[in-house]
Amino acid sequence: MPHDFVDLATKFRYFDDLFPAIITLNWDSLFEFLVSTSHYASEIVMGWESSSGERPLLHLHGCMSWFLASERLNGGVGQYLLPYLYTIREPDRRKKGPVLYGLLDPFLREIDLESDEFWELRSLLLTVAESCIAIPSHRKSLSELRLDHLWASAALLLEGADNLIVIGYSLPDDDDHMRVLLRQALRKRNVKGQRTRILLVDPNANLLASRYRQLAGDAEIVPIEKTFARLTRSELELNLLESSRE
Amino acid sequence: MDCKYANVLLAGAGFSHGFGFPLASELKDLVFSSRLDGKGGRRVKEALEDRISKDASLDKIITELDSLMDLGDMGARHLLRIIRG
Repeated sequence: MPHDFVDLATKFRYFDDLFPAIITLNWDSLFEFLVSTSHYASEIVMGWESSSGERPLLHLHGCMSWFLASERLNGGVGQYLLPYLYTIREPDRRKKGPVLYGLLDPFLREIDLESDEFWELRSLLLTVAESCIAIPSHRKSLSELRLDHLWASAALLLEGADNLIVIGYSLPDDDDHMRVLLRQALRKRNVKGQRTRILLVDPNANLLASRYRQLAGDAEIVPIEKTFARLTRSELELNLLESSRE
Repeated sequence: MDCKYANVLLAGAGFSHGFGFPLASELKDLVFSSRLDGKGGRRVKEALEDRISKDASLDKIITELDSLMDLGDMGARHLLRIIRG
């Protein structure tokens, strides 16, 4: 395992309890790896229906290990692939329609994600399903990609969060969905009289702060001009709203 | 979904900055895979395939993406954003 991985996983474990819920816009499976090595490894879910107490991990733009099939896979290639798949989202009605699959359980790590076997399985999957990642050049909407339930879950998480810890996300102009999601969640909290603090961890946090202020309403913005690599636990902890530190 | 999480982490590509980029092989696969199926994505893929091999280093891919971005390609811009945050 590369040293970079080990360093990042070690760092992540140190912050573990401060990140009980994770929303990411990245396509890679970095967070699956990180949470699989964390103290809460057995409690992870990936954004579909979950019971209380589990740790949500929401890939709002999909993931490179997720695939959308027009219907439930069975027979032929599908039959061969099924043991390597887990279902992220079932069809809505009468058990027919698109199904969102994940390739392997990333937490069990039965197959090395860097191995040839993984990539061969993935190539085979692409003959019967399509990749589930939302990119600007992709013409399909979030609902067509079966990702809308993740966005609904993210809205609930954001509406319930006193502290939104933003690390390495610059809120780019073309992420309209994310802007709307954040604006609406923060507005709802404001209407209820709930304080919200947004901690921006980024080498350009002060510059980013103005961008976040435009949609944050009354939320407090706390810029921390550092990468996660250089952030200390106490810096983050001391800046959290007190309610979450009790 | 239980919404009672006092803290929520929102992480972008910059989360892993300072640790190197651990999943370079996945990005390379993305660049070379057929999953860049939109108009812009296909253009990026074809251009990259013309210029570099799949064994190319991530640095080389970034350099080529940079040059494509100079041509105003949206797909290249987005990929660079993912790589660099």
